[in-house]
Amino acid sequence: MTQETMIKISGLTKYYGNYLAVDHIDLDIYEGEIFGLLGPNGAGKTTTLLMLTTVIKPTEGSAIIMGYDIRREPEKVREIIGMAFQEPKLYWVNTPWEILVWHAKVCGYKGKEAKEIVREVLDKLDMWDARNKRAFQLSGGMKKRVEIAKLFIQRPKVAIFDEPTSQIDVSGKHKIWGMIRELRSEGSTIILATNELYEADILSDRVGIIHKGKIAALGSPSALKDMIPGGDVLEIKVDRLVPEEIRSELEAIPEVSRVSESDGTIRLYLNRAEEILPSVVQLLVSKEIRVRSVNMREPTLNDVFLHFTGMTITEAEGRGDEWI
Amino acid sequence: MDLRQLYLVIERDIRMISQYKMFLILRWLWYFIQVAVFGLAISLLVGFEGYFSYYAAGIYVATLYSSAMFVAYDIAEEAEHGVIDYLLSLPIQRRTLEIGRAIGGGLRSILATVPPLIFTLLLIGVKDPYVLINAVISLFLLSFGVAGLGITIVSMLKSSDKTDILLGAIDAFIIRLSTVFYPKAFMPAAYSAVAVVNPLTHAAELFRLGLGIPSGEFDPIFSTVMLLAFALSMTSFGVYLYEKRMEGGGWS
Repeated sequence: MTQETMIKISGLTKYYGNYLAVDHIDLDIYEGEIFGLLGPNGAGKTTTLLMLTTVIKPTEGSAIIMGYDIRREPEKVREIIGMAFQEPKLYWVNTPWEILVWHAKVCGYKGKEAKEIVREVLDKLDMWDARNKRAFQLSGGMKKRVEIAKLFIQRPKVAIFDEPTSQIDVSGKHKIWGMIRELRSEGSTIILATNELYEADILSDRVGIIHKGKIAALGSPSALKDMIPGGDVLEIKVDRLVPEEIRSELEAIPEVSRVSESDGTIRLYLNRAEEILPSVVQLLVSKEIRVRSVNMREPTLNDVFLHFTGMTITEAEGRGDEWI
Repeated sequence: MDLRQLYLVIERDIRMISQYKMFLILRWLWYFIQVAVFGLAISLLVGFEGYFSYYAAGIYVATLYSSAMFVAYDIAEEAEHGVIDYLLSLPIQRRTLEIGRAIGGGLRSILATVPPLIFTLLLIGVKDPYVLINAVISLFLLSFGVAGLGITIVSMLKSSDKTDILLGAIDAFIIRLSTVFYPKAFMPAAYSAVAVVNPLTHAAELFRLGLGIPSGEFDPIFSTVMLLAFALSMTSFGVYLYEKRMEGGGWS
């Protein structure tokens, strides 16, 4: 299958004063794919998306979306792109109905048609009963639903969801994921910015891991997991910090490709985990380190993130600088 | 420019006034009390013939000014709620968005002050309907210009608090250094020099002319030109700054 490039990002950079928020990103996003942009808060996801939607201007570089340059043809770009923001953009006195009917009209629907599509989308998102509440009376999850409803009404060629299911309950998340897939099947190219690993894993055709304003890794979720040397992950909960010399001994085991430790858990990326496990446990016990539990699993995107950035996404969240 | 999009931006701003019902009712109440109590008392104190009508027309212009300036507060609040980013991401041309906001802000201020306007017309009476139409057009010019001024200020400051403080300071000077409450002839020279270039002076003068109570202190053509210049310059400047400054966040 040939893949048409929908978005071509070249050297896209954004400085806020002296702070480099997005650092010369080069990236192609293909027509009809769900592209996951995975990274902690402050990694540069939202800034990148705001540049693509022409809300903010890049400091350097540019992007071509369906042949239109975001710098030179921003009006054309906005005709084909839409964004549901991470923080719902609702004016406190307005109701979901007022906000969305106006939005539908701006996106080209005529009077009755606008009301029909808004009704349909609100219904799908279980927001019909709350349509006449004012924004300040809505819960966080309800506000988020109104925000993403804008994209399901607009149905743009390029739909950007910035953390679409944060603050949404589990059943709501599944419903929204279904609607995002449906939007893609109707022909939209989707960019999904998220810090939820599971969301990126199950929805995305390809994932770009963004860290400190740079794309650290790029590929399909399964390809990214395959990039981790050692096909298995062994997680061992221990009662105290593992000294450096023991870590070195563990790393010296031929099947072990990497050892990391956080939150009282030591992680080994290795091959033939079942065979190596007894000797690893024995080593720890012989050094008077008590083993609390052992878990053997396949690598996740968090492991991929750790592999490429040297920290887990949670650790990176703690170090991130929130800009927009 | 896409006229449908322009209409939608204007409509959005105008619809916004329906969200402030209580605020509007209190504002109208304030106006009626101001005219019926303060206006009556001060005209007896001054003892100047026809001052009550002079005051009633002037305070309407001051009310219109405050109402038109409200668009600046709305924009500042929208920025706080992130709505500016949303508006900038929509398939609307920047220019359409900016002009629409200036026109919408101006129109809604007129609509928000319709009851005080009717009250003033009934109170003073209308001598010549044609002259009154000219006067109402000048009120439109004032409200567009003030909405443009509000957009200019909020775009420059990018801060709700600073906007609040500066608008309060401007309000104090622009109303008092005009002929809204007293004729130019009674002002110290330095004050009257400012009043001559103050758009509120000319809006008040033309409104009084329309009501058949001209002060005769200014040539109506001069006043019309001054108001037109104010409306065009402020709207253009507001549109320019909105375009330059709104993108990129940085609100405090």
